[in-house]
Amino acid sequence: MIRAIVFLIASASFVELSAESPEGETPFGVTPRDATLKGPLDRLQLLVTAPLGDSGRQDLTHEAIYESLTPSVIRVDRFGRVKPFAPGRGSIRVEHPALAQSPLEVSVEVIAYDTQPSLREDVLPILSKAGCNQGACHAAQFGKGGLKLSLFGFAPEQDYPPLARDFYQRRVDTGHPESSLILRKPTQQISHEGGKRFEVDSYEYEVLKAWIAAGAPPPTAQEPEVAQIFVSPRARTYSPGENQQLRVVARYSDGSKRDVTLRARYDTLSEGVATVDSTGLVVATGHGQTAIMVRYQGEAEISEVLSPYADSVDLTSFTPRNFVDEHVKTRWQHLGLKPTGPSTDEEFIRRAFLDALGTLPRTETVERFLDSPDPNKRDTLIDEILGLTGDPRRDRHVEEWSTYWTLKWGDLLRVNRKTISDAGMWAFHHWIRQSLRENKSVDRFVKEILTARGSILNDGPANYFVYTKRPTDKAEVAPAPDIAETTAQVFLGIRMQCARCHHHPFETYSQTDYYGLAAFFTGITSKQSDAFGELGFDAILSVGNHSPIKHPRTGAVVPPTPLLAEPANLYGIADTRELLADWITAPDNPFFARNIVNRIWGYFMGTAIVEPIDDLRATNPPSNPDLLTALAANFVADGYDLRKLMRTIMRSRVYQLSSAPRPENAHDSRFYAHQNVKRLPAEVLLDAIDFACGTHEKFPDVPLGIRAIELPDSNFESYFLDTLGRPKRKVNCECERTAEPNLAQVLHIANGDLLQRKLTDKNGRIGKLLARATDGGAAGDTAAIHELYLATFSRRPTDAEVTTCQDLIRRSKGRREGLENILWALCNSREFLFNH
Amino acid sequence: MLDLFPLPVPNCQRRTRREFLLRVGTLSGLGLSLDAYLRGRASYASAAEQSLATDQPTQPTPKGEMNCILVWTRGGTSHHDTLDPKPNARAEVRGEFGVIPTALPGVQFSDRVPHFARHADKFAVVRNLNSIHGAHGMADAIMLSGWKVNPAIVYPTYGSVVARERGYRNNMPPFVQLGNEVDRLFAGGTSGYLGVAYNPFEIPGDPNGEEFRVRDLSPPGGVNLARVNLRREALTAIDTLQRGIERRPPALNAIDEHYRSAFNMITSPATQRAFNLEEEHAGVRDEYGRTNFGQSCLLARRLIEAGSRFVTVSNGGWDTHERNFSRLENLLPPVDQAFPTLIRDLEGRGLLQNTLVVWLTDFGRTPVVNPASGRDHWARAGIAVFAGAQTPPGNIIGETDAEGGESTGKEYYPHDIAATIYSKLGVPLETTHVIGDGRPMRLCEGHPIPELMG
Repeated sequence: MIRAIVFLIASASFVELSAESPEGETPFGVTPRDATLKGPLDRLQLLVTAPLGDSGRQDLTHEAIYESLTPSVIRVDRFGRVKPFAPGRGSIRVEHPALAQSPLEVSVEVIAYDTQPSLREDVLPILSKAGCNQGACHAAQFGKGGLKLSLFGFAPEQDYPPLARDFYQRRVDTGHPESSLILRKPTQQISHEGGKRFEVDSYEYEVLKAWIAAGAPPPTAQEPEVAQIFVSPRARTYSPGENQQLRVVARYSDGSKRDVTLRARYDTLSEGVATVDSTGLVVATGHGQTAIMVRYQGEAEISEVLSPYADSVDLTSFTPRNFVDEHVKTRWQHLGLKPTGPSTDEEFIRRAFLDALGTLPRTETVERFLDSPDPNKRDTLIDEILGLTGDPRRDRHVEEWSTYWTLKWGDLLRVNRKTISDAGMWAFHHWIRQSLRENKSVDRFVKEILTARGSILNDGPANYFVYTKRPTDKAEVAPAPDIAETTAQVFLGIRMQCARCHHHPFETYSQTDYYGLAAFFTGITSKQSDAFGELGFDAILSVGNHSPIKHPRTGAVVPPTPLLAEPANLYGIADTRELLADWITAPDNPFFARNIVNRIWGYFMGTAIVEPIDDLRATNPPSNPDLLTALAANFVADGYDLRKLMRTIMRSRVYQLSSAPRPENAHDSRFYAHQNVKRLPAEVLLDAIDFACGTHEKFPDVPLGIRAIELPDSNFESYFLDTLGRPKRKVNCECERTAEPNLAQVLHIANGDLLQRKLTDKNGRIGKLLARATDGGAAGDTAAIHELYLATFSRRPTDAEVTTCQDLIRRSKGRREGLENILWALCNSREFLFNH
Repeated sequence: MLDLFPLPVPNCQRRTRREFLLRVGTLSGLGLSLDAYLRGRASYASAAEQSLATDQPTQPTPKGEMNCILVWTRGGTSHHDTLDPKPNARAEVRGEFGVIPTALPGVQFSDRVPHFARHADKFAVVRNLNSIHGAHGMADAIMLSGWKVNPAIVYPTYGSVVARERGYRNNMPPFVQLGNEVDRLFAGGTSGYLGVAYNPFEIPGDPNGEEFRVRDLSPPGGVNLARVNLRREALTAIDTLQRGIERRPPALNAIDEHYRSAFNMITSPATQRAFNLEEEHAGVRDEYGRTNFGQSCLLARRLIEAGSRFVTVSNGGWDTHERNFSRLENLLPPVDQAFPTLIRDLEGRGLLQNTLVVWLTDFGRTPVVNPASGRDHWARAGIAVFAGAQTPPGNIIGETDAEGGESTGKEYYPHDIAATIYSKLGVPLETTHVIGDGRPMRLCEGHPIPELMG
C-alpha cells in the first residue's frame, strides 16, 4: 500500500456531487475533499468509500480513522462528522488501509461565523426531525398541550408566534436560553406528554439554544428556500449486513449549498431489505430492491438499495428480442435472478387474447394457431389481435380491442351515469369507443378530453368536466380542484390530493402547485335547461373568462401553472385548458408517457414498473427505471400509438415467459422473471363463462348479446360482477377494481345458480354438442371433451385428461349431466379463472 | 418501515421497528414472507380439514376462546342524541330530544333509547372517545383497525386478525360481515396486509326480508349433495395448473383456500342451519325486532353459536347532516330494541362471558345543530359501547364538556379500542405479522382501556 499524504489547497467552493459516477454511486476515496462550513450550526458528513472485490464497494465512513489537524478550527468524530469551532481554514486527516491513498486530507473552510440562526432554516427542520410538528403531535388540528405548529414546518410564519411570542413568551427565554420551555420540554427536564425527543447538548438542543440566544429572530421573506436535495450515494449494491452512511446536500434558491445530513429525515420503503436510522446510516437486512426516502424542507429524494438474490447468474440462455428484454435482463443480472422458460403456444394464445382483448379465443382460432407450422406465428397473431396487419380483412379483432379498452378507459375516466347522467354516460362511452376504433393517438385523445366543450349529449368528452351529485340533477361543472386532481391522477399518474390542504408530505408538491393546476379549470361554465337537446336536460359546456383561484393559506391568487414549471403565459389565450393540454401531451412532459406505459405494462404483466400503478413520484422508484424510460421514449417515438405499445410488450420474450415460477425466482413478483398470474377481471370472467357455456348473460336495459365488457358503466345490476370486483367508478384510483378472491366469489361461481343455469341451457354449448353427436358413443364424448377444453383452457386435453373425463361421464347420471359436470369443473379451475 | 403517519400514541414517540426485526430474527427479504405465508396457510388449512373430519352440529365455544359481535353504525351516530345527551346546554346544542333516567343513578340517556336506559347496568359506555379523523372512509379504516390511514399500507380489521390468528373452529367462516354498510374507500373493515384469505364472509341481504337466504350456500336446483361431491372430485382431477410446484403465486393458494372453505360450507348441514332464522322461535325473533338490524343481531348470535368467531353487524344511514332528529327517530328504535336484547340473550345463554359485544361508529357529531337541522362530523368526541367478555357492566367511562365538544379529562383513541378488543379476544398486542415485502408489522400500539378490562 502506497502511503502518500496529499495536501490540498482549500477552496471556497463546495465540491459537489458532480464527481459522482453516472449510476449515482459515490466515488472511491473521501467525499468531499474540500468544503465550506457557514457558521457554528453547520455540519459536514464525510464519506469514505473503497473498492471491494471485483466490482463491489464498501463504505468505510464509520471505520476510517479521522484526525483534525486544526482542532481550533474544526473537529471530527469517529463517524466522519465535522463540527466547526472558529472561523478559519482547517484540515482533517483520513486514514484507512483499504483506501488507495491513505492517509489523505480534507480541507474545510469555516466562514460566516456570526450569521444569525434562522427559524426557517435551522429550527423548523430540527422540530420536523424530532417529530414535534407531525400530524399526531403539535401539528394536530388543535395542536397538543396548547402548542400548535404547522405540519412539518411548511408555514414558518405561522410557527413563529406560538414558538416565540404566545403564552407570555414563556416558550423561549432569550436571557436564559436553557430555561426555555422549548428546550426543557423535549429533553424531558420537565414533564412532556410527547416524551423525550432529544438529549441536552445534542445537536438538536444546540440549534434551538443558538436560535433562542440570538433573540429568537422571526423568519424573513428574503431567506433562500431549498430548491433541491442531493443524496449520495444515489444508488448502491449491498450484501445483507453491509452498511452505508448517506450524505445529504441541499441546494438553495440563491444557488448556495449546505450539508444537511444531520437535519434530514430518513425512511426505508421496505424494512425487509434495508433499515435506516436518524443519522442516515443504512443497513441492508435482506435481498431485493428498495429505497431510502430522504426528506428535507419539502424536498424529497431517494437512495436506491439493491441487494442481489445471488452473486452471479447465468443468463446466456435468454436471448433478448427487443429493448424490453434487454432492460429486464440487465435487472436480472443486477439482482441475480434467473427467468423461467418460455410459455407454450397454448398459454400464449390464451394470454394474448385475454390481455389485449379481454376475450377468450374461439376454438377454431386456437386450433389453427396451434397447428400452424409458421415460426413467426406468434408475431402474426399479435398483429391480428391488435389490428396491425395492415390488411383490414385480417384485422378482425378491432371491435373487441376497442370494446375492452373502452372498459379500461371508462374506469379511469369514471364514466358513470350517477355522476354524468344516462345520456352523458352513453355519449362519453361511445366517444371513447370510436376513438379507440380509429386508434386515435393517446396524446390527441387526452387533448380532446381536456379541451372538450359543447353539449354533454353530443360531445362525449365534455362529460369529463361534469359532476352531478344526484342522478336527477342537471349537469354541473365539477369544482376546479376535483378536475385538477383527476387530471393529475389519470393522465400523469400523480396523486395530488395531499397538497389540497398542506404541502405533500413526501413529494415536492406544495399547495401552490396544487392550486396552480386547478387554476387551469376555473373558466368552465355550463348552461342548462329542460328545453335543451332532443331529450331535454342537455347542458352546454363553454369556457368563459379565467377566474382567479386563491391559495387557501396565503390568500394569494395562484396563476395557472403546470407542475414543476413556470406559470403559463396567458397572453391571447381564450381557453387556459389548451395550455395545460399542450403541456401534458408535449413529448418532453416528464410524466405523461411514463404514466401511460406504466399502466399498460402493468395490465399486461400483472405488476407495473411503478407500484401502486398510479402513484408515480420521485420517492416511489420504479423497479426498473431504464425500462420505464425506454418504454416511454418508444411510445412517444411511435406517436403515442397504444396498439404499437402493446405490440412492443407482447413481442418481448419477457411477456412470453411461462408463469410457473422456479424455486429461485418464486419470491420475485416485480422483476418479471416469470409471468404473473392474474385473475380474470369480473367482466372478462363473466364473458368467458358465457363463451364456455355458449350462453349470453342478459343485463337490464340493454339488448341480449351485449357482453359484460361492453357495458358503459357499473350500474347494470349484476351480483356476479359486483362480487368479482367490478369498480364502482367513484374514485379515480386503479385500486377500485379488485381481483382479490374471497369466499363469496367462490361460492357464487361454484354453487350459485348463475353457472348452473348456463350449464343447463338447452341452447348452450352442451346442448349443441349433444345435438351434434348423434352416435352418443365414446367418439362423440371425446370430441365434446376436446371442444370443452378448447373453449375454456384454450388447449386440447391430454390423453389422460380425456380418460379422466370419460370416466366422469360414466359416473354421472347420463351424458348431459356428465358434460355439465366436466364443464363445471373446467369453469371452476384455476386454469380458467386465471390468466396465466 | 415507512413511518409517514405514525400512530398518535399518547407520547407521540416514533417507534423504530428494529426491536421487531430483532425478535423476528434474520429476515431474508421476500423469501421469508412467502415462507411465513405458507406456514400461516398450512395451519389455516389444517384447521379447516380437521373440522371437516369432525362435522359436529353447533359447537359450543371451547373454554378460554372468545368471540366478538361488532355493531358498526356507518356514517357517525350522534353521541348527543343517544348516550351522551346534554340536557342543560343551549337549545342548539341540546337538540330536539329529551332525556330519561337510566338504570344507573345519575346517568341520563336520550329519551329515544329507552331500552338502553332500562338496561344501562348491562354494558359500559365510553364517552371520552376521540376518533382522530372526521371523514368517512378514513373513519371506517381507523376505527375498525386502530391505525391511522397510511397510503402505503392497509391495516387489517379485528375480525381478519382473529381469522388469521385462530383460523376455522369448524365449517363456519371465522369472520362474517352482515350487511355491506362499511365504507371501503380506504379499505376499512378488510383484511389489509393479512391478505384476501382473511376478508370477512359478507352476507349483504336483509335477514328480515321474506326472501332472505344466504346466497349460494345451498346447491342450485338440480344439484344434490352426491353431485356436489362428484363435481368436487372432478375439479381435483381437472384443475392441474401449477400443481406440484412448491412455491406457487399466493393468488393461486388463496383461491384453493376459498374452494376448500366453500365445499365445507356447502356440504355441512350444521352450517346450513346456522344461517336459517326460521329455526328461531317467533317470540325470540320478535324480541330482537322484525327489522334488518334486529334480525341481523339475532343471526350474528346464531353464527357465533355455530362456530364463527367474529361477526360484524353493519347498519347504514347515520350520516345525519340534514334532518338529524327526524332521521334518528327512524334509525334509533331498531338499534334500541335489538342491541340490549342481544346482550341479554347472550347472557341468558351463558354466551356473554366469552362473547364481546361492541358498538362502534365513525365518530361523534357536532354539538351545534346546523341550519339544516342536522349535525355534522365531529371527531373529538364520540361514544363506544362494550359488553361481555368480563367487561364491568354499568360503567360510564369519561365525560365530555358541557356541550359534548370534547373530553374534560383523559380521552381514549381508536388504537385503545383496538387494544381492548384484541386483549379481550386473547390476541397478544405484540403479535407481529411479516407482510408481503418482508416487513414485520406490529398488531397494535394502543393500550387496553382499564375501565373496560375488569
